[in-house]
Amino acid sequence: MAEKNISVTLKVWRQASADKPGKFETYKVKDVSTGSSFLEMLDILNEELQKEGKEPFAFDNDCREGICGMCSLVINGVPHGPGRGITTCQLHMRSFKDGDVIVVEPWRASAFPVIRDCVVNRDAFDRIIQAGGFTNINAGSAQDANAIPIGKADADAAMDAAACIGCGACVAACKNASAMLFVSAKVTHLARLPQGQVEKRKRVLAMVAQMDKEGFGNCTNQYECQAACPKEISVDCIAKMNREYLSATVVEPA
Amino acid sequence: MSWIFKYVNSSIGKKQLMAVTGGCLLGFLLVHFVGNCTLLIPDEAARAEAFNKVADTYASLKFLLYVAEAGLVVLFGVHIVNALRTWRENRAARAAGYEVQTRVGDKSLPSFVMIYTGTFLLAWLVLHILTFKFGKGVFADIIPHDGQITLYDVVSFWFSQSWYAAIYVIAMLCLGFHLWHGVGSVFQTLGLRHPKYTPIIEFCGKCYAALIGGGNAIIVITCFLREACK
Ligand code: HEM
Ligand code: SF4
Ligand code: FES
Repeated sequence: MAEKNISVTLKVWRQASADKPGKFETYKVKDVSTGSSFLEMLDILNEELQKEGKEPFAFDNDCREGICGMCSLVINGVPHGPGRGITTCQLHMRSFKDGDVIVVEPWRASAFPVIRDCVVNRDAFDRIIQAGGFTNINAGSAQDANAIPIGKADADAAMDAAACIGCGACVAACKNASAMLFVSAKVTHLARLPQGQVEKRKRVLAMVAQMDKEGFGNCTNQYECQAACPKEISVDCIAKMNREYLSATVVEPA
Repeated sequence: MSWIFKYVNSSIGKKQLMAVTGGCLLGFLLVHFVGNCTLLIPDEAARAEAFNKVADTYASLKFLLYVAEAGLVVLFGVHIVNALRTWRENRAARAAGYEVQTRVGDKSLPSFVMIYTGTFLLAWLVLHILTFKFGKGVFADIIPHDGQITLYDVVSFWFSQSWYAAIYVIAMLCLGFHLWHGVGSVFQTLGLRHPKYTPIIEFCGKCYAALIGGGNAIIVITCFLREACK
């Protein structure tokens, strides 16, 4: 596809720190190639801002290839912007037209407080993982790859769930800022495999307890999370977690 | 015992309590609706007899009826308390909103207005019980169609009042909305999801919602028109 240059107007959320009120600022970015990524466009904006002696716009990013989960941004009301199954760093300017107004906001959730501009604090996810998103296995020398047979259906479902990069778009998309998709992806990934099954009950109880403590909302089964997820994690995971949580509550001795 | 408190105060526990109570109410609604269908019998004498017979059958349960009524109060109570708790928490979880919000999922309007349709149903329920259960001739002069006032007379009287019938029709639309999202939701919340059965469940849930909401509304409108055209 032939690339061309377009100019866009950005309305971006600026906030100096968590305890200061924020507001939208409007900037124009001129002559940006449709072949550049959305984040490269923001880099161009920041160069301009710095030239003008202004504070650059803060946004999260790291790998810029859709694997680390650092980038965020709600773009025109959609976490990770238009396009299904991609992260913000995989979004390109060819998704926009010359003259477009693009509104850029941070993930909005009480459990994800703003640190600066569109950078939010996602430590809550780390604490949920610390509560049980792992297996306790004595790591000796690696055993034979075929020593533990795992059915294809389970292996596939575990792999699909393991694709979650912990970005938090699911929370950002949900009207209740619920973290059910993220947490259930981790629960499903481990509960589907024999290594994870040993601790599955303790794990689901501990992870859900931590999720609730962090102040995420309750799921109302609208499935916006699934539609917004860059890794297309399915709400099948949420159903599995609901099931696992109920049975763990009934069966687990304490 | 602390595990019970943990469960009923957890996000998933609260939702599952709502799902189980909502699910039981679905069963109750179906039985209630089948009884209501007697109001569609064209011949007045036969209609009154059939409808009163349903009412008498319930009354003849005596003690069991009280047990069933207490059960309904508990179901509604648990459902509503948890609805309000989750609704409040969900608003707090998204304290600051978005400037622009574009919906990317495929969920319909009913799923966004559950708390409003639910609240309207609650208000309507008070009216329903006041007039039909405790209101036999209390709130209005009801003329019996032969001798003594029966539940059929009470129902015909109230449904002939246009404002009353209008509130009912709105309530039944709310019910249809509530169940459009609610029935499928029960299964998801309890973890009953399967690639083969979920599409069937979702479809049947919507049919059920349309049947109960639409069916009851048609019954009310029929009763109203019958009196209005007399
Ligand atoms: C006629 C009686 C009612 C029936 C049959 C009914 C049924 C249901 C069902 C089946 C659900 C789905 C449960 C789930 O999410 O798993 C539900 C959810 C809900 N109900 Fe009701 N309900 C009734 C009355 C009420 C009332 C009086 C309220 C009052 C506030 C209410 C508020 C809610 C709310 C807020 C939800 C959660 C919505 C969501 O998850 O998005 N309901 N109801
Ligand atoms: S489930 Fe999807 S949207 Fe949620 S954190 Fe994982 S990758 Fe991001
Ligand atoms: S920057 Fe790593 S996923 Fe986008």
